[in-house]
Amino acid sequence: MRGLIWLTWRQHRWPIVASAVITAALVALMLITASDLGSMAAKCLTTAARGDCRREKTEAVPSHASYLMNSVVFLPVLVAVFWGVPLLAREFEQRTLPLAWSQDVSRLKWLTGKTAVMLVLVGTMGTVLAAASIHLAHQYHAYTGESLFEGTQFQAGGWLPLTLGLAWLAVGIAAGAATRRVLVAIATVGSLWIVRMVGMVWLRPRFMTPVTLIKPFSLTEDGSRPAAFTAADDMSVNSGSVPFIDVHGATHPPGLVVDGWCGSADVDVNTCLHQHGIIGTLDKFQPADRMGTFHLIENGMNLGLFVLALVVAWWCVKKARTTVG
Amino acid sequence: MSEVAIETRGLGKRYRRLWALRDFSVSLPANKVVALVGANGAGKSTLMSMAAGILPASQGEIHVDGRVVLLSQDKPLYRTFSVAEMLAFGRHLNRTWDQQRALTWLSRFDIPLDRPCGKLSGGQQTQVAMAVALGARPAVLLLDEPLANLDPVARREVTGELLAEVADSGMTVVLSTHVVAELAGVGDHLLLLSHGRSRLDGDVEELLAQHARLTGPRAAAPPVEGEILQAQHTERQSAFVIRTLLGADTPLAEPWKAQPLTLEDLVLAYLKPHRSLGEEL
Amino acid sequence: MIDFHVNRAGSVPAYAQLVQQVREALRLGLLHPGDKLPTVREVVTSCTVNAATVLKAYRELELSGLVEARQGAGTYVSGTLGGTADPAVMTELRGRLATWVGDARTAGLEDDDMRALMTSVLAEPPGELTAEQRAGASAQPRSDTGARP
Repeated sequence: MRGLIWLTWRQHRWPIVASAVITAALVALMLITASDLGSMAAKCLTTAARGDCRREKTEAVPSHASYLMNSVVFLPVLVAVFWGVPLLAREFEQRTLPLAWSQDVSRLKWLTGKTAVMLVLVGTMGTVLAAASIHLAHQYHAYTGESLFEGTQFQAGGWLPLTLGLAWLAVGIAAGAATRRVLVAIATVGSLWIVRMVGMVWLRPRFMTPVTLIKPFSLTEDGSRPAAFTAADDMSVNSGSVPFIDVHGATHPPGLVVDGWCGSADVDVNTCLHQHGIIGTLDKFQPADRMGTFHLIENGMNLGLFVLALVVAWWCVKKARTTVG
Repeated sequence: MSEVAIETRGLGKRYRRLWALRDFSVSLPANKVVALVGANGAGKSTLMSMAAGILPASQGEIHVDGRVVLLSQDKPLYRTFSVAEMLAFGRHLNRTWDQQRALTWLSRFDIPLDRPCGKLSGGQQTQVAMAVALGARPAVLLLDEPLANLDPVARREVTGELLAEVADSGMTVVLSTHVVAELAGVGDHLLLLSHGRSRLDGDVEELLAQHARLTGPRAAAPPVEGEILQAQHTERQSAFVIRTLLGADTPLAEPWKAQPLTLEDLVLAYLKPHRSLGEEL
Repeated sequence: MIDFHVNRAGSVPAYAQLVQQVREALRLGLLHPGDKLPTVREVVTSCTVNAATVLKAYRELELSGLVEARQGAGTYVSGTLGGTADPAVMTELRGRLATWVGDARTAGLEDDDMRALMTSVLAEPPGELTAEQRAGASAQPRSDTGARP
């Protein structure tokens, strides 16, 4: 309803304007950084002998690339706090709900209308941001070679920022509806966010059973420490370092092997490794072709949270008891 | 428009184990000023909230004929909105909106349209809240002690203007207040609540015609049959407040005299706790 | 134009006070036939009384033949009260009353005693008229159909 659009705008002007400005700024920065990285990658590919930019980086990776990608990961909690929570909690606290609810609009229609306006706005800004961050992640990968399936790049891609933003807008609204106090709702949102962050870090690599493969080690050209062998876009699931494995199937931490057994300067690493029966490294990873599926799974989780939070908010509003005096 | 503005049947509201309203059945007439009185906690606010639809009933039902608007004591407004924006709020959220009526009300009290509501005085905020309420063209306007913030002059003015609005628009006003003296001449219909139940419900003129204060020589009971509401005795005199068919027109033998009650006396007689009459003699 | 005043403190109903004030104004010659009474709205806002109250008062005055409501134009005075048409009679009666009051005071009566006497005489059923009174009464038309408030 037109009236609810006006009301949502009028009541939440500043968060809306600020968000639009921030979105525009972030998108601009991301596109600029992405194009920088792109040109650096192109330049390096023409000059690098092996076509691998990882070790031939002539210019340092701009660190703000990582910060930008991280920002879209954290924006959703801000959306929850500045958009979602005030929708209901502020009106509960300031006792203006009876005012809104005694007009011609039913309380559920009021909630639906205001939420819909916010969802459209967050959805639009989120889509633009998610597109820009996917692009940035790809350029980042092109230049640094870092896996698209890992860490910040994964969270910045696959439209995750969009679904995360929508989900946490709903969480903010639900927290406001359930707690009826702005500060308590913010604290709730903060705690849930921390739980979510920690939880996802643990859960992400476990979406599907990881593949375990023995990678025969290969020496680098100059005969130094063998490289941990991961394909460019896989997600490494090893906790910490990649262990060595021997003929009998026993694993040994690399520190022990490389520094302990074969670390002294006068020993030839190859011979030493061969003497100990080390045949390669034991890699646990998620192969690159699973990235799409993993994005889908996490998007699905976000949307599930979105629906759950909206149901909570709707139910709280339906049952809310307000009186005068 | 029907004759009845608000009708309840067996209405009840329970908060955990406490019944704020119980078995409440009344029929309030339309196009009248209904005075709603009762002690604190008697159930006035509960009744009004239920009539306004912001509080669900635990039992029974309540029907209001037409649009109902509730104006509560804390005159809710959006503090950052200007007065004009509050009217826009009303216009956007209501199917029928009478902008002219709201503006006329505001101009009668010289309320500036561009000032943010948070910067207005308590009395001015009341006027803005009232303007928003009136603009929605309510069939029933519920006022919960809304005049508390106004100085005596403003109270009179607002009451007068409200009465004019009732006459002009056929609106029903339900006015909940503690200041009963002001209601004389203003209220058409009286609804008195006590402990969540209806104790008096009727036309003010009729009710006053059915009550009297009888004074005479000391006696255990008044010389006429009727419901005794109050009894006061001194050594040589007794005074009773009673309810009978003829009230102050009841024929009495000398030296008994009958006097009609004021509305305030009537309300007080019903609100004071019931005393057993045998005590004082 | 008459200025109404409603006293909430007493037990006289508001509408009765309005009726009384119109009748008094008529008696004292402050209102004449053709004068316009305040509109219902004006009375409501100036005295803070219910519109129903004002309508009731005006209706009673109309039934007494003292006012008439003209559709869309308001309420106008249409009658007069009692035998007050003759100011000379009023002056004479006033004079006699003043003398009586003087006598009563000399006899030691206080204002309240005099009022009590007046009330009790007024309450007596209109009894035997003297020949003089009967002659006086038939000479003057009475236009007061007199319903007491």
